[in-house]
Amino acid sequence: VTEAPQRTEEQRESTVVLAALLVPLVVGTAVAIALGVFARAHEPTGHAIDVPGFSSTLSTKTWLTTLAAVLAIVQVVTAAGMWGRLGLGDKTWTAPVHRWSGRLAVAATIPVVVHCVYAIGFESASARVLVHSLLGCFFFGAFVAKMLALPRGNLPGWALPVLGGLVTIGLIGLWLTSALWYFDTHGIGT
Amino acid sequence: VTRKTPYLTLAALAVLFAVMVAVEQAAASGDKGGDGHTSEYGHGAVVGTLAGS
Repeated sequence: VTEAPQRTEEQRESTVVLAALLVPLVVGTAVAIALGVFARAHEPTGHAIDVPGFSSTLSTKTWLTTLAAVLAIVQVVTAAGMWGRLGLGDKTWTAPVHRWSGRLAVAATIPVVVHCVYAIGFESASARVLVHSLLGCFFFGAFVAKMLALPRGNLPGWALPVLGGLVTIGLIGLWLTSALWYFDTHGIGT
Repeated sequence: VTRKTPYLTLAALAVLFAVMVAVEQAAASGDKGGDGHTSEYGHGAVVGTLAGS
């Protein structure tokens, strides 16, 4: 006799969860697709902005991406601390470090992605550049989805760690398919 | 930190994105008709082609 109302309550809860995640996921997906479509459709300019102190635009982008990847590791550690793992204490220092390392990480990637999209475009000449192009779109879509999900109070406990994990996976994947390749082919000192 | 903070973060990063797009556009248009290596753009940065950089 009590099963039917219980099932109805569970269905209502899962509907609320889906509704809370729907807007962030739809907007994040739209951002990822828009980025990819623009990068594919836009005529690449082929220009570089050589920044003093770096040997080339690729070098600049490599080091910015490396900075972002290091900050992504900080993100994982502080996120674990915020969820009571790793014995990092309370949120008094992990939460602000998590927020600011995330902001700086994404800020560091913006000059990189703008150059990738505007000057190079969405490429598929090899598996590496295809995966890199896809990950770039995925990373920014996942980041937007996480930002839009954060203020929502009715999310299930797994939602933010999963979204944050996807953002981190995207960023580390971007580093592996670009900066690591650059260091491997050009060396660290270039 | 408020519920608006993530939206403000997104807005600030969107502004940075727009600024960088403007920089790219200026870099691309600044080299029109040039040799791809000599156009100067802001803060001492030098515009060149990807092939030449």
